Amino acid sequence: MEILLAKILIFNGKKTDIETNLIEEHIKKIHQSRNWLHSKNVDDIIEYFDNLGKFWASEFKYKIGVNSRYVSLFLSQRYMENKLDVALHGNRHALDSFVDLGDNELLFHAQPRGVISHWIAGNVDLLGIFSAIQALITKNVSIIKVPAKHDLLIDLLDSFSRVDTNVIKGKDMLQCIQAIYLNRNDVENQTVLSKVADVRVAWGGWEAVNSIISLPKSPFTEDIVYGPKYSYVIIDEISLKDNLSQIVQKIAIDVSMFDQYACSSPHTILIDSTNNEIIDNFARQLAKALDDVNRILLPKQTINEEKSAEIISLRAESALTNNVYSSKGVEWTVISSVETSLAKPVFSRVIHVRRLDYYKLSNENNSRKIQTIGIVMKKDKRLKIIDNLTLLGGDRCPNVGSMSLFDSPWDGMFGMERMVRWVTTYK
Amino acid sequence: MSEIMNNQLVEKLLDMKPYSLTTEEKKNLFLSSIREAINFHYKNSVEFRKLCDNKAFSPQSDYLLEEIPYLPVSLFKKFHLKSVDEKDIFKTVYSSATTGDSPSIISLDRITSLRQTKALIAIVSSFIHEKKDFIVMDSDDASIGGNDIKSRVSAIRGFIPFMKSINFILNKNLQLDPSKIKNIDFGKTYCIFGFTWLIHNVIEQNMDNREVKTLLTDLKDPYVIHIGGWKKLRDINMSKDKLYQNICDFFHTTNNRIIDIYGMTEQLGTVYPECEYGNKHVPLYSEILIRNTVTLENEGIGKSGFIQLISPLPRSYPGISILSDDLGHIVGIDDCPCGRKGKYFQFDKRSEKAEVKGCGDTIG
Repeated sequence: MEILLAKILIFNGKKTDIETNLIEEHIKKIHQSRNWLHSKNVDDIIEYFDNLGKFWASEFKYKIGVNSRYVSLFLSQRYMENKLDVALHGNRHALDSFVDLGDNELLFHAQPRGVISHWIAGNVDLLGIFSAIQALITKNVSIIKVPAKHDLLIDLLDSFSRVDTNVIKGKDMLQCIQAIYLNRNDVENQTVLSKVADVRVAWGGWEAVNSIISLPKSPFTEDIVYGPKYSYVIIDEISLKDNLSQIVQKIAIDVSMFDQYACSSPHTILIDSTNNEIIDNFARQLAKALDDVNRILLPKQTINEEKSAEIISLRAESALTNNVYSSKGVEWTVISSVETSLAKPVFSRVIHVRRLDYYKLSNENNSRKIQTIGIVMKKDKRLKIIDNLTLLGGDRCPNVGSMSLFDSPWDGMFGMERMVRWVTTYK
Repeated sequence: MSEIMNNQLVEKLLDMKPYSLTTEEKKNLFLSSIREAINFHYKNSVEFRKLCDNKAFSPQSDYLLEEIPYLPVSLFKKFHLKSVDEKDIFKTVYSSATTGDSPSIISLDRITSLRQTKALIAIVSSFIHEKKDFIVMDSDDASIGGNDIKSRVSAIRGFIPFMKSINFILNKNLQLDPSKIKNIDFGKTYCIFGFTWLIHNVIEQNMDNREVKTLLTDLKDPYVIHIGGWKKLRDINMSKDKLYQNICDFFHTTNNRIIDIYGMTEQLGTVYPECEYGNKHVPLYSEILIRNTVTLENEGIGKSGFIQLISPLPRSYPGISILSDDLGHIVGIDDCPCGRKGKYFQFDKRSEKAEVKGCGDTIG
């Protein structure tokens, strides 16, 4: 029988390489930091992460890549204060004490749920770290099950100890986190991780998320599931006439970020036009933009031969009936077709450009699998379309260029709100 | 006129011994021949023309071998590609298909079939020299077939020209039938022939079968020709060394009598047998390029990549330049110790279906 050793990578406020059969004894220690974290003011915690964001932006700029500026923005004091206020019904200080949220009789206090276990997917390790930081800001301690490729994630977590504020020492903050690598078949330790959790945060694809939520848990455990999701873009003809070059550049970034493996990465671009020449011209311009982004901004990550073979086959099959624009290698592919449905995702920078058939889309959008709908059109028209479309599916409709920037809410949920328990008393 | 030229050039190639020219000597003759084939298929296959146009490839231009567009092998599984009229098709060949996959469908006219038979005979003759008595690791039920020849039957039929006699030794359930072994004349030197996975299965099932082992004791150093790839064996972690050891023990032969033949249904006839030095040889009738799996550039010696197979033989379907899912690398050119000229290569592995992971994976 295969021996499945767990590796404990962050423990007791430092990087480790402990190997163990059973993680239970180690993860119990995470409880020791709960009181310390609870005793801190939320504004002090936010200030700490503001400093951490700046530290990452300078020290990890090249490792994080193009997301570096956004990471720093996400962790910035003003941004986080605003997001937390919105998530916590208008007053983030509910995390510190009882506050008046406008109820005639009640005062409210947001208590942390306790221990949050995060299952981070390999494709979006950076998105995953955001959920861990949200847990800490809401004063929850975290156990992070890291993906197989976890070097950057561990380095980022470990760097907590290198940032201090007047109130918070980084090494104390790092005590509130454990990071563990578990074999995917290690059901025993995955179960331990699940049972200890007051909140389970699962990032991943269909199979992974289903296997996580099937693990035994307490009836009081809250589940936050990020994925499996599909995303796409809608653009109207007038926007293309006004702004084609900017639009293609922004979409090229959305497609290239995370190499299209994130749930928020677009796979289909639907053009609201009956003019095939406009649609095909858009595809050609997008091809140029994808080439620029690959050369200058976001070089394609390593791709395995299986995915290469799939892309080569798809290109050839598509070329028989559609227009295909692609790099010389397998870096990026644009397929412009007369079809009108949402394309099956291929990932790895393969994007389909199609004509919008609003009636068909309304039917296809009837699914909770739809996450991000990047929309480029004038505000009035946009809001009306979004209202109709998202009745049954679709959680966020940002502008193109910022589709994969983690935000609150995400997947239709205020994650930070789900990480707290509301306690009330009378005024 | 150009078609006649094409026939002449292909025929000229086929009249030559498969490993008689160096790569430099082969170059111009092969390129002229493939040029004619490209012109023919560009004119007669809508699909081939579209792929060329999509790559901005003009058959009239001056081009190098590596600039010839390729058809990924998967295209033959999804489209029924033809370059001749339906009335000229006289048989259809199917590739073996893995679970959940469709087989390739290859339509053959008599001209293509004849070319493929000529090529196969010339190539295999270089390895087994004369007709042999064959023991076929298959059921004789498989030998029955009409126009639609399934992949195993098709492979067996391809080797009929090398068979003095043929003995099928499996029953219809593909189990070894001892009664059929009893008919074998052990005074002769046999050639055992079969699909790699089937040979492995038979050995695995009968390793401890005393009756079978006793019956096979008198086999005299037979040749063992196996075809059909390694996928099923890799799935069960069976290495080549281990399989060859098992074959040697079971059939009382030696490593240098075992011939692994690489080839594709999409380019029948031009097969690539492995010599006693473990190298697969490229005949005059085809060419092999190795494509980097990311840049798709033509790779040099020693670097692994997708195997591209180019051959002017196919006429009834546009399979003159195909890109396989298989990975291999060129070992050398013109200097294999076995004496055969031309390129020689080794098969590395077959790429599997890509597995998607992460929160964008919505396939449930």
